[in-house]
Amino acid sequence: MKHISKFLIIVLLSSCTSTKIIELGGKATIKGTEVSEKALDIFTLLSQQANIDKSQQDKIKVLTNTDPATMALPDTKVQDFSKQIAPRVKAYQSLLNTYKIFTLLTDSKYGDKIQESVSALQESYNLIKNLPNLPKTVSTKLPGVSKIITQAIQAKKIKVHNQILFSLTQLYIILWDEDQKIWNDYIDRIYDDYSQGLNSVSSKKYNSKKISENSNEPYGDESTVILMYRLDKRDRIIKQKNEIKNQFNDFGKALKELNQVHGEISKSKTNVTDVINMLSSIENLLKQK
Amino acid sequence: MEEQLKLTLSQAIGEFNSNRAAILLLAHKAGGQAAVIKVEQEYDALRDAYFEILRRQLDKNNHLYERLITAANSETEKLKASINQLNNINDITNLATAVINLVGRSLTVLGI
Repeated sequence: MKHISKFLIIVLLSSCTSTKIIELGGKATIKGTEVSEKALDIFTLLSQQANIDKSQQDKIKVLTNTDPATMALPDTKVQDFSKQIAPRVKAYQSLLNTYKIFTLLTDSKYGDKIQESVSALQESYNLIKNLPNLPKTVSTKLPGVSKIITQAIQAKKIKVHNQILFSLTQLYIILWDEDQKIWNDYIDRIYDDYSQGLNSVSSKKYNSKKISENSNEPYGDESTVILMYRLDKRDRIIKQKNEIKNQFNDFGKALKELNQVHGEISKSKTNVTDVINMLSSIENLLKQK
Repeated sequence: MEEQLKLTLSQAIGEFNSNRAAILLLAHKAGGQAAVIKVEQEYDALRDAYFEILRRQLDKNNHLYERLITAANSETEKLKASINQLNNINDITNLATAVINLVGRSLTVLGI
């Protein structure tokens, strides 16, 4: 009897840890899903850039032409990156699928289900009159203990899979870090070329009255009105460019935090506070700014 | 080498853009729209070359992404196996309940 009590105490103590690991595993898998979805959003954004670039270059060709009345309609070649984007989209879709399956492993109802099943098993056993009923201590504790054991098995599996996801996300980080520099160059090319091209357009092409109609700025001098409009336009292009590059940065940081979350959960002694802080940091990084 | 070429191309594109209207005005004076088109084609060729370098740099990692897909899919399969194992605990208990119910019924029928 003493041994059973000791066993129950040990099991009950470990149950708190198991519940926490299952809970953290569940939260990590939600963040993993969100980070994967963010990656897919980024590749959608990148796939839109080819047409944006074409449209911008066509506009520049019209605006910088000395005699637009005699020019043919420009048709700049689309810079197609679909072959480069496709394998990356597939890789993040695979990661997203992994997290969707991982969600099932972190389901907190496994313990409850086993508790119900064991209760049903006991009931069936006790219903057989010819068999001696289970001792009361056993029959009251057994369903709960079964739940705790199941949770411990589940928590152990969650730790093992977090170790695998730690290694897997590390590979995604290495490749993203290498790609990010190239995607930054790609975005710089598209938006800097547009901005610089627009800067070289002659001020004579602008109608200050038209600008004033749509502006609340207090300038009266024609040249100032035009220059202020052009400054604003330039700033907006740079802002648009930086917003895209910031999304790349934030995604990279979120991926790194996610990797650390997996690393921490996989440890034998998980620092719960660290995990919670990292999960919160991922949430902030993925917020639309 | 590749990075150096990228940098040189980038500088050339930037220089052209900064003086684009003035360069095209000169071209137009020298040879009309035909000369403008020719200059713009040269500029487009510089951009093509720049983007081609980016594509090649990205292509270098394409086969690694294929490996990532395989690794992620393999982890998905392992996860499914773990989920099945957890479900099996429940299934075994349910099966045991069914067996005990059957034993109970047999005992009742046999009047033991």
